Amino acid sequence: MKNLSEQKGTDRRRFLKYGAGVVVVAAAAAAGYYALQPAPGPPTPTTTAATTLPPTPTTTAPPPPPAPVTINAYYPAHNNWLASDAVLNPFTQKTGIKVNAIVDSFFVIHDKLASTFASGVYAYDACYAWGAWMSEFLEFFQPLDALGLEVPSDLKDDLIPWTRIAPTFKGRWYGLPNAFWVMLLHTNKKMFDEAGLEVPTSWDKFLETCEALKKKFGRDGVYPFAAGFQQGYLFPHYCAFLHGNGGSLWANDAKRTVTCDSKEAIAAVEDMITLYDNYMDPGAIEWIAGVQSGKAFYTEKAAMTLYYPWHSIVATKYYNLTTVAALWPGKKTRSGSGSAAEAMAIPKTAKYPKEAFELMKYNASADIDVGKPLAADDKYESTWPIRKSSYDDPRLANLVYPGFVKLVREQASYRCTRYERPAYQKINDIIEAEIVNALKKVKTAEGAMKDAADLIKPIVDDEYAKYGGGYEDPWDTMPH
Amino acid sequence: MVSSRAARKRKQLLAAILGFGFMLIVLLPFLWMLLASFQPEADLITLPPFPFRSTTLYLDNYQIALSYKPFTNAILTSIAVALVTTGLVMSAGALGAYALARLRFRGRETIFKSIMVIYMLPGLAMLIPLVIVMKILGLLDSIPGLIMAHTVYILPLMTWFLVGIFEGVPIEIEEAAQIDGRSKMGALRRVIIPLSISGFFLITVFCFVLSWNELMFAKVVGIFRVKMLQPAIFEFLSPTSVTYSTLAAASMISSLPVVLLAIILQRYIIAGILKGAVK
Amino acid sequence: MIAVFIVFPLVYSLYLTFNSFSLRDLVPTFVGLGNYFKTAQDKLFIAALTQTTYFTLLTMLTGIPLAIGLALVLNEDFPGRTLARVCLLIPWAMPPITVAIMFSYILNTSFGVVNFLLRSLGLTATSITFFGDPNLALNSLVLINLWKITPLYAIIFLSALQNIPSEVVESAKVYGANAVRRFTTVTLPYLRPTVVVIAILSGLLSLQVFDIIISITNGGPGFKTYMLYFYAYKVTFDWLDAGYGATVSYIVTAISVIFALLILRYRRTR
Repeated sequence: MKNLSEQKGTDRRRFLKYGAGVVVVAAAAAAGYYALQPAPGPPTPTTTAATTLPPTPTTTAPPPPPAPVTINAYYPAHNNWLASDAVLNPFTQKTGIKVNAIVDSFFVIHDKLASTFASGVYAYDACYAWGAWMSEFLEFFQPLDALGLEVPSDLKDDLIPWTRIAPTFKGRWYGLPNAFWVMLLHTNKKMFDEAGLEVPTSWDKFLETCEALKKKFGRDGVYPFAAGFQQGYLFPHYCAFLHGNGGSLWANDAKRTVTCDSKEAIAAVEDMITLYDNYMDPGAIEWIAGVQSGKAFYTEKAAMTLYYPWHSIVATKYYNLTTVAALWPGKKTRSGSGSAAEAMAIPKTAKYPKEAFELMKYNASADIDVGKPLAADDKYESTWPIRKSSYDDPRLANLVYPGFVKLVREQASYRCTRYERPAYQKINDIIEAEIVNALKKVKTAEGAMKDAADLIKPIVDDEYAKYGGGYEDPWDTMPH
Repeated sequence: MVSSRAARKRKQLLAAILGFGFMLIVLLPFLWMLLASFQPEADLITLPPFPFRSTTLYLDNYQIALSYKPFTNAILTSIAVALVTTGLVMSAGALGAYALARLRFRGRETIFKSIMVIYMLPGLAMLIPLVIVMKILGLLDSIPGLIMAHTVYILPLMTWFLVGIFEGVPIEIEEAAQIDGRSKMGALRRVIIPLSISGFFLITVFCFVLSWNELMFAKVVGIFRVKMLQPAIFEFLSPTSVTYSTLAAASMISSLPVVLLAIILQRYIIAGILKGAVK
Repeated sequence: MIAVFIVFPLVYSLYLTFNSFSLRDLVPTFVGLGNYFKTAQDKLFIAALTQTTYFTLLTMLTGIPLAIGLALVLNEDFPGRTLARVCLLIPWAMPPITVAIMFSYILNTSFGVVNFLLRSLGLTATSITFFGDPNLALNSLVLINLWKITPLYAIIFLSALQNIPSEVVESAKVYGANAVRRFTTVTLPYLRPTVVVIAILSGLLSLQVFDIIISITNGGPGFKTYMLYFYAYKVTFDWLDAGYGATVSYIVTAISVIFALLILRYRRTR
């Protein structure tokens, strides 16, 4: 028997030996496994063809064609038509560039981008960029001019001005837009006819219409108006009410101070409360905007809804409803729906920026642009054109009903913005939370928005210290 | 005595009722989702809820969920990660726990305490630095990286449990085995583990379940090429359709392995816990 | 290697808390203790702290008695006991997201079965927004948490119950004490150590509630379901402020460590 101290020593050595052994084995296993993985990412273009050619006189042998490049392109699920074979195959045929399309639901994209960018791995060559997030993730994208790329001037002139906000920051381009949305008021024609009503064109008429619809259809489960007011999704609606009241998201000072406690903002929230209390399903506070409110509209549990144009497409194509859409009847102006534009931009970690730009130009080309709304069906959700000329294209003339497309174009000419600034998400979350407080009567509209303003003030100060403010408001700087 | 037997019967009946009530509370939500996964979407979002109408079996939801390539990939990835993690954690943990339980050396108490403390750390505190470390090592967004992350996350807790279990094995038996000529390592394999098999089993299952259910690391480390199951379920939400039917099917698929594990191994698990594996 | 994976992140996290570090530019700028001071003034942080405390206390105060009751029931021999014991494991085994989806569907305002039953039976006039009502949301989350972990605690209490020497119980019966008396004078003292451990454990686990929040309410309505750990995640990944997020998670860590030391100290003194 060994004595105690020797025993201790042996024990410790044993422990270390075993411990180290395990660690080594684990590391070896991991390394081996990792090494056996197929090489990730697209294959780099090889020139082995050239080097293995027999040494014939090179002056006569033509240079071998480069091996096909595959780029990674990141699409949101609601734009998945752009990721389909119908769109990508002709592109590959024309340019020889293969596209590996990655599609994700919009709800996961923000987190994905945050993780991907923070980790610095190569993931995308052409990456989804949304207007608000462009400013947030700005440091991870590269400007086109730094890559020696230029936006075609005919495209620039033809763009709906609002869409410029998506791939630009303070005037510098980082990619190209590929999707555009406005919100419209969608109405169920059958229900309106039954009640003998006309589509409202002013706020007072809108309230009267709601009242009449309530009287006529007010049995359990059927409401005049549907909208998704769940926290996390109600900001676009807030924008609609705000702009309709003649308000603005920020003041035109250098800091772009958030004016969520302005008269108009409070009025907007009060309008939302009026509708929620009297004319909407109480469950709407848990509805995801567009999803459940859309279902309510399609199944005729609501006569009107406010959301993007495809509600009318889906209602017509799949639910046999006849819809009549209209501009949002804001109190002060007909404008005020919340808009969004989406783009693709080139991350700093991209391997094939030039090829990515080719894809973006292709997505913005006239035919693809017109194809977007046409492609909406049960497989493709799709979006709306970014070119002014597309809205005059005869192929879209009878979409849903004649004049529908012109309506979308008209709504786009009214003031409708969100925040395109680095602290967008924070400001967004705070305002939404306070609006819910107001909707649920925890606070008054005024109290809630004032609290929001208090919470937002330090954020704006921080942001200004870092980025210098002065963010673009397209309605101030661009013709419509 | 007659009265005590009647009292006993009454007590049994009361216990049976309460026990049955408890079972209902636990099982009902689960069964509800199970049934929901076999209904078409339209039936799920209208009133009255589906069991109050005629129920038909609708298998398409599972077909849709399983034909969604990223989802099936995610399942396979999760299986792989969970299995390898369990293997790694159990081996390393067993050895480490054995050393801590049996061997005496300087710093034992400190290591023990620090393991405890490490377990207590919320994963988030380690997340970003871990991500940076992995980026340097090139392990990010890879299966080995995920395995490493999960191992690091689960190992401390498992070691702590295993120490408790091993300490429960009488030392005399082990010494007897050693006199028989076995080395310490042999003693571990042949004597201790078989004696504490139920506790050991429990911890193994626990480890698998923890890895399978884990969300935060899976979401952050598995970014682009590698998808894990729990974050993948989020992807059934898209702006135009929150289809509860496919969500239900996907949820059922994702809980299938762990629930099956729990049911099949319940004897060992409960025996393990009852034996005081969790002190 | 473990050291690399554990120690370095720890130290680096600590370093981060003293910086303002944005996930955007990945360049730390030193702000000293500024981040910590920020938490004292941050209304959202205070809300998260209060709500986490409320959540923890409520879970503890309702969960432990429930678990004890459950354990008592399952200690008796009745037909189907094994089946009931199996059921104990299911809530704990299920992935949190599945649990979240399950409950968000059942408690759904528009078509959830609970609301349907409540209205059909005439108990309420309109549907209850379980997760949309600022006063109810946190309590609904507590409910889900209870569903998930009470069975697990019950198992632990069950093992404690079975460790009570039967002679003591028998002698109490002989002395003519009725069931309630027996429970309070005999069983409870034996259970007390377990209760303490479970209480502390429950506190620890409640601090780390995350999955159900992010799947159902995402912090809403208002800021009512913001809890500390969730807040740290939101700050870090949604608002890209990694320095402040690390600060919050370190505070959570500190609290956790206190709990952990409590458990250690308690075990030591037994």
